[in-house]
Amino acid sequence: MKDNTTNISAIGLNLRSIKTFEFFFKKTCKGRYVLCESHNDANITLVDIDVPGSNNALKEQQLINPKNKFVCLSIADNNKLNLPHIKKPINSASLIAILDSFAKVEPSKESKDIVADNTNKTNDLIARENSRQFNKNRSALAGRHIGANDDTGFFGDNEDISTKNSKDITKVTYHPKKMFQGAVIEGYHIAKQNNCAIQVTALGISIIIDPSNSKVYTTTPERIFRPICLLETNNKAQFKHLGVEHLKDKVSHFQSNKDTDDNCSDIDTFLWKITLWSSRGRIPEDTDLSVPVYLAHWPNLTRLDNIPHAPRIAALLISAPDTLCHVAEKLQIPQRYVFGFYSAAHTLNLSSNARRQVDSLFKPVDKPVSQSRSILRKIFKHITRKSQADNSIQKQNNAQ
Amino acid sequence: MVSNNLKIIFSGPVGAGKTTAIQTLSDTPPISTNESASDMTKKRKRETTVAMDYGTMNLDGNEKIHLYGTPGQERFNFMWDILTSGGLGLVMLIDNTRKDPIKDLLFFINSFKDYIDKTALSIGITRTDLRSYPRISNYHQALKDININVPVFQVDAREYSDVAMLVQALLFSIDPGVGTDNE
Ligand SMILES: Nc1nc2c(ncn2[C@@H]2O[C@H](COP(=O)(O)OP(=O)(O)OP(=O)(O)O)[C@@H](O)[C@H]2O)c(=O)[nH]1
Ligand SMILES: [Mg+2]
Repeated sequence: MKDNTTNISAIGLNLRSIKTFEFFFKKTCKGRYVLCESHNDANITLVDIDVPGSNNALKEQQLINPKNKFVCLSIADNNKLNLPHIKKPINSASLIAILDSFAKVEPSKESKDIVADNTNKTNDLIARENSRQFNKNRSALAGRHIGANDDTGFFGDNEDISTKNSKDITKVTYHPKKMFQGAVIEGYHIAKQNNCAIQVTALGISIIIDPSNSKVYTTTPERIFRPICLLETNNKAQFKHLGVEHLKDKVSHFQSNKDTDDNCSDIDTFLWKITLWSSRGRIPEDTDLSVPVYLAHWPNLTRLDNIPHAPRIAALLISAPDTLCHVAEKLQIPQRYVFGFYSAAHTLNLSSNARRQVDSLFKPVDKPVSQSRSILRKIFKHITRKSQADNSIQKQNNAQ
Repeated sequence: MVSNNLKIIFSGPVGAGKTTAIQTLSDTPPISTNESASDMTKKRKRETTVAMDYGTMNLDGNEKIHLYGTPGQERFNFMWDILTSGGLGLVMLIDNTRKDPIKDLLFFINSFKDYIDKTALSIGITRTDLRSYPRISNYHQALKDININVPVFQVDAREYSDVAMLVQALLFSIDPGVGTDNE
């Protein structure tokens, strides 16, 4: 035994806890403390007093090894035993402080870089390579979040515009209310207001919106939806209330339809997609490009169709409201992606022009950006590359 | 020695998918200190992590990002602040099938408060395929109540694209300008 190590024994700790302490003493305390099996060899004894029987074992040890120091661990705030006490969850600093005070050693200065340089030192841990074989059944959306695939018809090909030119502005606006998108949104409002399923019929297409589970049912395949979204409904949409039985019948009819593989989707996923097809990289006509827009919170991007740069746009708008053109400029990306993102987020009630002070819901918190951008960028590139590889494997699997 | 900053922490309650998420992302065979679970944990799953998970993302130019997973069980909490000295930020995973996932969320946010204040946070809600409530909007509401506005996504820890989105959101929360090419 080295001179500067203090032996610690334990009462009431199971194998897992012991392993954790071993790791902690070895790595964090750099071997100043070691766990020993016999209380007779120990200077300090840790006692988990929440474990039945540990009180008796403690009393026994206090008689046999009166010179030992005893430290209680418990979920309670304190103990009735008049002993030093550490409340669970155990804070490493308080644990070290108590141990150091008993061991009369200099407090550790080295506990900072503990883990990062342990890469090669983890041999004593139970190495276990887990099989990566898992269920590859993905939803139609999963696996498509990263990497700009613009074969979707989501963004059109509008060039960037100058906000000073009003003719330019009309080029990048559209009228959601007049289109299929408007009918769907209206149907959703009615459904929510009446707490009842609604069948929306417009341009010869029917969908059912069930607000009780936020689902949309339809038999119309995507290849038909996409062009339909560009047509005006001429205010001829119909909305029909469906009772519970009627809904059941309709849903089972829709679900038995073999024409489409995805007859049911989350309402947010559906609205997001419909909006992207309708807007094609444009913004609703009542958007003021000179006024900043806010984003109330991050969209659930893992379950929504991919918009190139969506996480960056979201991060920027969450940090503070900004005008859409300025966002595109700051991120150095085509405006149509920012416009498409805004339109889709607007449909989900997440984003709008920040007209009042209160619209900038959260004050941006200034955090020191201590990370170098080059390393963040490397991580980003790495993820993007792997995602693309993952996607192509996925496509192959789907094709088979 | 590796810079302490090149580290991402994964945390969350027992069985939320921390070990799995690190396996999904890691370019090297991950190391876990898993054991077959006994007592309470066993009711929910066969294995649990006792000390930590470890994996790496191997970047260009021989650089590595170290991925660390904290043990989920609360009694191993003291590992948490060991693992969270420095680093890029925290990916928090919450298991939607647990008894009160919103309470889990608040507990973990509270436990890592200092760390989150200093770095960045993204939150993945796992197992929504098994139980759809609470909804993502409920999580946002709970976060809004404590004035926190961070990315929250439905994720499956086994899916690369889901876990990668959590990491991306973390990066962009630190610096939205990261993806710009010509600087
Ligand atoms: N169905 C489903 N299973 C998931 C999902 N995410 C992870 N899992 C599974 O959940 C199980 C538990 O995951 P782990 O990675 O062991 O959880 P952990 O957070 O490391 O747990 P502890 O180490 O005990 O704290 C694994 O079998 C995963 O494959 C999900 O979204 N859906
Ligand atoms: Mg684990």
